[in-house]
Amino acid sequence: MIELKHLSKSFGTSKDVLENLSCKIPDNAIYGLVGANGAGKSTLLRIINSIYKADKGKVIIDKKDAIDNETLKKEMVFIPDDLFFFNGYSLYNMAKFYQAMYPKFEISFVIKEAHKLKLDLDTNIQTFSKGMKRQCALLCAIATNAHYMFFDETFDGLDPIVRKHFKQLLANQMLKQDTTIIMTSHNLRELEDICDNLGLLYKGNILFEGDIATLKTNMIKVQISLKEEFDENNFKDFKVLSYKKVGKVATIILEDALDSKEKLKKMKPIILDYLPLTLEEMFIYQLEAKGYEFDEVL
Amino acid sequence: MNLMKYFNYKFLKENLKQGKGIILFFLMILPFANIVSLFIHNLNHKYIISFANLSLLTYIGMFIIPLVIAYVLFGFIFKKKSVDFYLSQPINRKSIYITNLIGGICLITFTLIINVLIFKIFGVFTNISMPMSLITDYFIYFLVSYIFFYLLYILGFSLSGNLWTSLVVSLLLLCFVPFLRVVNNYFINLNNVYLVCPNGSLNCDNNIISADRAINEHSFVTPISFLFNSIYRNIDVIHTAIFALIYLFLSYYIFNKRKMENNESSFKNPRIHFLVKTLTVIPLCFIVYLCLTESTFDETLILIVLSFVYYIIYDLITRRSIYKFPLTLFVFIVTLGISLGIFTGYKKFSNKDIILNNVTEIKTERYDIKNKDVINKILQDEIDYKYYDYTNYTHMYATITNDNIKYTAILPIKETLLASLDEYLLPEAFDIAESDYASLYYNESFPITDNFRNMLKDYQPGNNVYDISYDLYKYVNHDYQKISIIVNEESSLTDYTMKILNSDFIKEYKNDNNVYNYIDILGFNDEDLANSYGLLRYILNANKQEFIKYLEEHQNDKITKDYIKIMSNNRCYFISDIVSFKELFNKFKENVQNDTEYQRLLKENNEYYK
Repeated sequence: MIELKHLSKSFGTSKDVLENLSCKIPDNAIYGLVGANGAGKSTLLRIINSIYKADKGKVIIDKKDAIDNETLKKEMVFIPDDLFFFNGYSLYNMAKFYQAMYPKFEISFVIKEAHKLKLDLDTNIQTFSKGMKRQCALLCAIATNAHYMFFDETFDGLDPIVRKHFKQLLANQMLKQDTTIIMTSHNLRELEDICDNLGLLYKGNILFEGDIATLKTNMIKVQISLKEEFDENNFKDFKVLSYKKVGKVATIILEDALDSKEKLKKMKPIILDYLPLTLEEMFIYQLEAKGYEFDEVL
Repeated sequence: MNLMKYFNYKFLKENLKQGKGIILFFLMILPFANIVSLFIHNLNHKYIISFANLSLLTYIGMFIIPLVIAYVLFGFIFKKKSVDFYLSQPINRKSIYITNLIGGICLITFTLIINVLIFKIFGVFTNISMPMSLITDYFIYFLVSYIFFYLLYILGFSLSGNLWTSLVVSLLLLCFVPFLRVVNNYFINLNNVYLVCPNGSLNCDNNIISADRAINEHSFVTPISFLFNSIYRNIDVIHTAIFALIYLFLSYYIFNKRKMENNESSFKNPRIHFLVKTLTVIPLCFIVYLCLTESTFDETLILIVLSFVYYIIYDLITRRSIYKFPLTLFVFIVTLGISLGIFTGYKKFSNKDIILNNVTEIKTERYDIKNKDVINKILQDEIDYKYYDYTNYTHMYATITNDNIKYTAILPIKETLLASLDEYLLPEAFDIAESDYASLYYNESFPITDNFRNMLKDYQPGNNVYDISYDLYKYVNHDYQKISIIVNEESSLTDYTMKILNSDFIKEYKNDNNVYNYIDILGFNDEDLANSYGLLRYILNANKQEFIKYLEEHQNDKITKDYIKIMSNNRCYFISDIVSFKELFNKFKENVQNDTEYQRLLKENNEYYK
């Protein structure tokens, strides 16, 4: 488990990028970290990976202090948003480098997947397109078989087919090695179909986090109409996140899905439709409930 | 601390692999340059390779090779992308530092070992054979100096955010204190230096001497002291090693604490950027001061403008933008004003006469004089010296130590006094049989063979009847010491030397087709010639083939005290059988009797000496 305790970080005289940030990231999960540009996502990943030093706070991984911990780092791999490859190196050369650094590195995996993705192993990576470079970096990272994987703007530059392929590879990796994956994006939709947990970073702190399954089971979106005239007060006993009424039909987002469904049935509505709820909507309503404007945060 | 615990061989191997091209190029360029240099020495028959000869190219490489190694191994900290990549690898900062440090030192050692091997190989295949003690000095001196530079650059890298700034920081660390010393020396050397007359008064004539205060080189590290005095000195190496250790601890600490987000710009803190930039402009302010005192106002103004342009360019190079122009202008003006004020005030403060009243040592290239009587005699010569009497004096470069402060001066010394100094001042520097090189009077040196060494073992001083001497050299106490020996009347060395000289003379004379070259025969009288080089040259050159044949036949004759010496082109030939040469010469004269050129020269000669 990754535990972040009261992390703070500032760059020079500017305002803190991270401000007393604390959170826990469970094992064997894909944790999506979302936030607007400048929210501190990349800085957070760099601190976890001992690239930057936090001004305050601790990073605990598997109950050990993770800062500059060489033993732990063998189980951690980080792919930043801005990729680095040695000058003149091919994918095979880079894989050999990773092989020298990571004890569990599987070069056969890189060769096999490069073949599938039509990446030439011996061509200078610098001549590849942005998306191909990203593929190379991701392949090397997955092949490390590290227990903790950190990806910044994971799928940036990948086309939908390749993106899907990598999502599958990451899912397989999780099953194979009990891997914990932390990935960032400024685009919520990109992480929707792969993450188990999501954290929303805003102004240097986690504004909201939770596992998606619970969110999905806990929240419902209903369209309802009652026989008699009704307004928001009729739903005082519910945990209402959002209420909008157009004509005789109201669209309501409710928490405590099971309980709410029972209560709604008892109200004997003339219309009661349960609508699918996207991750983005869940975030919007959760944030609105906390008094934030979604557009301002993400 | 167990260093090997932090050494990661795999990381080093992979890290070096990515920079192998540039590293190999720079590591091989030095041995290659040294090979070329030694070839040139060999072609020019310069077989005595001094520490300075051996070191010059390595000295230049000292500024570049450690920088290249440091950049390949530590240069990643200047780019955000590479910082992310390197520091996310399963290796911590301590291990990165120690692994790269050891790797860099190994590369430096490897380069120097290659150079040492080249020197030894040259000794096998050419006449250039460097003494092992010289090569050991070379190796120690440059190993310490290269490591010093390597650590200096790592410290510069750790302190700043881009390559240019780190170079500036490194140069400031290296040169700023020596610069202040040079400035200090400049002002002190504007003073008058007086010698106290023997009776203690300053009123005797000509008591002012032209002397400069010597820079105290002992407080410098090797890269700086080499500029002043390119010889090996233990004290320089020790100073360098101490500074290298300080840089090691500092760079280790700073690298581990470094904020890695500080890259691609000079410093995160603009105040530090300003401070460093301002420190670099102070030497320019000193030049402005010199210009102001010794040149025209227009030239000074141009220099000030150029200095300000540099001040701006510094920003553009290190931060890619001009940092707050009005503030930059203000700081520049204030720095210039304060610097000029300090320099002017310092000149006034330091400009007082220096009186040499307690000279404890006079050191020249040949002598280290501490004997009070001799010192007094030399100083008395200086006081007595009159410029119109210069023919009786030799001027010698000397370092005078007075109250522990050194001055460099050119001292006039009477020839008679100089001639007597050898007797009681020069200790036997070394056993002549242990010499490394010998050099004959015409200045071509050669390494000493076993045969020659045996002759030196049997050598006994005697009379200098042939006016031929050897200079023997041995690398002792980190420098070549010289002992001159004369070729005495009779010894195996004498015969050997005559054979060398005679054979050399024949070789030179055979290849010399210039009929106007100087030739003379010492100890040979011929009434017709009357010292006419022209006639002599004509007679010998007209019979050149026969003359050479004679020389070849007699070149191994045993030398006797009665000899004649043929001299030409800085070579000489000794003839002991004067009778046979006389006959031959008369025959040569008869052969040319009827030549019009001979007659013309004869007539010219007779008229001249009438």
